[in-house]
Amino acid sequence: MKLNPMPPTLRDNQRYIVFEIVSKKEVAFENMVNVVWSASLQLFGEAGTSKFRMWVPSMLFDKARKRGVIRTTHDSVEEVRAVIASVKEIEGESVIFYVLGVTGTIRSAKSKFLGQVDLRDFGAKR
Amino acid sequence: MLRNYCDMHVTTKHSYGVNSVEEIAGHAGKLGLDTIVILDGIDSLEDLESVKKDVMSVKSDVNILVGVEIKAENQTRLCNLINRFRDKADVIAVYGGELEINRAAVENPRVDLLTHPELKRKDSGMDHVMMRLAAENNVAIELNFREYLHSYKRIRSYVLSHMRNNVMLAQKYGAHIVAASGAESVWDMRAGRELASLAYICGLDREKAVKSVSDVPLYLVKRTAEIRDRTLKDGVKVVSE
Repeated sequence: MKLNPMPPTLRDNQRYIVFEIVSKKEVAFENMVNVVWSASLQLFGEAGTSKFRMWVPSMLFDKARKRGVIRTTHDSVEEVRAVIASVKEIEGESVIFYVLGVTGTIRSAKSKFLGQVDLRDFGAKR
Repeated sequence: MLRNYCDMHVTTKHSYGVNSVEEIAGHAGKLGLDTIVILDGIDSLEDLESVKKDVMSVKSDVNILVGVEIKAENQTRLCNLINRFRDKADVIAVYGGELEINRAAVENPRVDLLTHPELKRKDSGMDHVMMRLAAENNVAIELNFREYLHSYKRIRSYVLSHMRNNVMLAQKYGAHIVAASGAESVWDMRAGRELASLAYICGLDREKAVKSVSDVPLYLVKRTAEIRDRTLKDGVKVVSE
């Protein structure tokens, strides 16, 4: 037996924060996720972090350009910005998280900031 | 709406910092900052001239202003240094933390910015009387990002709580709040919108938080330039028609 999918009116409004990491060396995805989560838990605690409903999708992490996406709820964007701004190093290497923009869908995050244009999408900006 | 973001407190290797003006300007460009203010803790005009010379030699799209962060042991010394630098520097900031110095800074209308008034204190470093004076004399109060970035757990919670207290008082009395990185290294620098998020978690609403890194610093810089250009002598100024 499976859970029924949540009706669209009851779902959270989501936002996708697209960020770029400024650093001297390459950054591994797993290390980056761990650091973001521990920064969030340190700054807002477990109860606070649970409200953000954060998800860092691995398939949207561009290792070469050091760009990635964090999904959160629409009313937690400022808090998540504060969380990623408070990250100062990953595996001993100094880093700066720089937010490129906030989008409402994964598709616009891909087309605007990650340079992944779906050829079937004729309305997308190239 | 596109905004011009300004980081009002960056330190170079001329004082406590570790990076040159060129490296800082490079990172500021990467982070989308339009204006940065170099605030070095110097106490002679020769040092200020050498910082200005460095800034002039840097070619960058970022607008770089040169200010002074005055670190004084007592009020008399503070007044002397303010008089020395006021006409030469774009921004006059006072290194806060000592209660006596915080008070002297907010009482002086020639000061633009009081940096980290809660530094190394067990209280917020500002009371309601001082905040009212800051509002009357147009002295902005800084939320120092570096202080938050380099503290952990209990200390960070104290820092945030003191900043929140200052924000509450500033909103009540109408004093200016400026969120700045206070960077001593390029890795302490953050983009304008990320600095605004610190102001947001300290209790400013989203619009005011963004203004604390864009409109407010630019207003302070512009006001200083106007006063300097129009003042002929102490107490005598050109009034626009």
